[in-house]
Amino acid sequence: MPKTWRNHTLCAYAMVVLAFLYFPLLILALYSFNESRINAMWTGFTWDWYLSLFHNRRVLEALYNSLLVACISTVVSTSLGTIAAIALNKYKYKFQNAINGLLYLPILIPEIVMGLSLLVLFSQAQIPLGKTTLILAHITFCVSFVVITVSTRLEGMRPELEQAAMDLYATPFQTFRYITLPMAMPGIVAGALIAFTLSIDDFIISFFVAGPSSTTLPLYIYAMVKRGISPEINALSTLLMLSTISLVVLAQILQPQHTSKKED
Amino acid sequence: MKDMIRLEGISKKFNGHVIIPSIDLTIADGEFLTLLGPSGCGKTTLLRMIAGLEQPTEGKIYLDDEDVTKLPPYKRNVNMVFQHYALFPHMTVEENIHFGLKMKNVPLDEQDERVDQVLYLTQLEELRNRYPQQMSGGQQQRVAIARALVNNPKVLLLDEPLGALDYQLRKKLQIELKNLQRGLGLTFIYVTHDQEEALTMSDRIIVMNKGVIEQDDNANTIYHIPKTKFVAKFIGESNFFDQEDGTTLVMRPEKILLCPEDEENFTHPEPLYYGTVVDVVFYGTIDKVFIRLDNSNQIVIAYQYFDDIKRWEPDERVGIWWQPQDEVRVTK
Repeated sequence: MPKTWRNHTLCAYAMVVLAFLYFPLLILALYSFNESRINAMWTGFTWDWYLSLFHNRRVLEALYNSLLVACISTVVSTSLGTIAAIALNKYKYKFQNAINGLLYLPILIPEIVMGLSLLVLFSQAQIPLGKTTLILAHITFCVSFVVITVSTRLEGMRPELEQAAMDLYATPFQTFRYITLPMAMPGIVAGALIAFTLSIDDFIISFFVAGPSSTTLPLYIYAMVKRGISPEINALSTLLMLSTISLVVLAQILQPQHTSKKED
Repeated sequence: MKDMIRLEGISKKFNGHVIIPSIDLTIADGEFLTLLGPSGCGKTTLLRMIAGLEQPTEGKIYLDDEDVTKLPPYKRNVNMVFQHYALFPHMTVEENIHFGLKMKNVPLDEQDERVDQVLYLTQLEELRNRYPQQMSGGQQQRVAIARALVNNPKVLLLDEPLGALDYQLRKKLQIELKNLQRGLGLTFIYVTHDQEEALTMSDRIIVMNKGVIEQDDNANTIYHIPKTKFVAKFIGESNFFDQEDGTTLVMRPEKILLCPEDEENFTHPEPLYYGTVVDVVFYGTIDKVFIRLDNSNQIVIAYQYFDDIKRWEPDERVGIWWQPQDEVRVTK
């Protein structure tokens, strides 16, 4: 008896935590379908706010900016991060741990510090704020995540596989093309999805380095909120949330399982 | 017979550590040669240098009279079977076996023909579309051998290929491998630390210790006439009797003969040592008799077959003798 009692309590506790996490999001999603302009009362179901979103030129422009920045920074950070991970995995050199640590550190540095430092850098280098600076900043914070996911994948890979390929007449390039790259691919895809998600979502760093012509969705939502909360924001946020969740789920599915190296 | 591999003054240093001081070795075409030794004796390093996965610090490697010392692994006509098989997990059995031929740009119809042949040879036809993870250790091992053989290498290098398998399967595959090698007439270089495996399969065994060749002989000679104490200790069981002139007599337990201490009018040479039986262990086909020598704590092991006249009991006093022609004398 005491055991089931304990189980029920634990289960209830878990539900409370989940509700605490997701209740605000649910409310937001719910009110994006509300007929009334006022958030306080439910008056009826409507798609109107979603429709008006897609007729709003400024929203579409922000969406376009967000997607453009996310796509470019994902491609660039995934390529850079993958190459870095392969290099770190293959060549053992002095201070390797220190270098690994430095690559991971940007994840822990407060975003506001990152944003500020990038702003200072861009103004020192006299690069005008705009899409270019935004993309550069997003690449900077995405690279670390790509390195981590690809490294995890590569660490699970035995070095004998590449040696076996070389023994079977594959040149170093062919070994990379047919063995290393396909084996690292799940890690690379997961890294790219994380990078894309982070870029689409980012507010703080973007806030510092965006220029007048480069408003992204999060920046636009923030600006809208300052003029009062409308159901349009709810609709936009819901869409953003849904796309983020699906990307994260996809990344989780593709994330390499932590199988041990000595699987025989 | 023609030389297939010639190593001249091969040495290997790693981080200032000498792993192999200097080795000269010639391997004949069609020979089953085993590199035998404890872990860390340099046998795997030697194999990897022949494969090209490691560079010798000094010396030259000749493959079929061609100097391949500086050639990368993908330009050497040898193939390796790795210890943990190293099958490509994202490829099926068939794709794994195709890999070498594809890299060498062999015409497609010839690729298919050769892959079919080798699948038949290794009895893998039914498993051709499986992935390595979906197969047992023994099956994976066969894929690794097929993947190497399909390239018609001049030499097949095997790095403890049966090490990860259980005893029964290992016994079975030892015979399969030996038959395969004989049937193809291919040169095999086989690395193992398992002395039994080495004795049953090899035409010739190189016993290595600390990067040095201790003995280079056929299985029979290695077992019956070990050249050094190390070889005698590493392969089978041995008794050592230090002599006054600084040499040591090595006696295999089956060559040790026992007689009662108080035996009179013996018809054989006089016992050289006397001692007390401390233990008798039943091993199925033999009794292992453990004897403590008088005036020392040394334990001598003797095998006694049941058709012998007498079975010994602990605490019995015995004389130890042997036929003079069975004596093996080593100096180090």
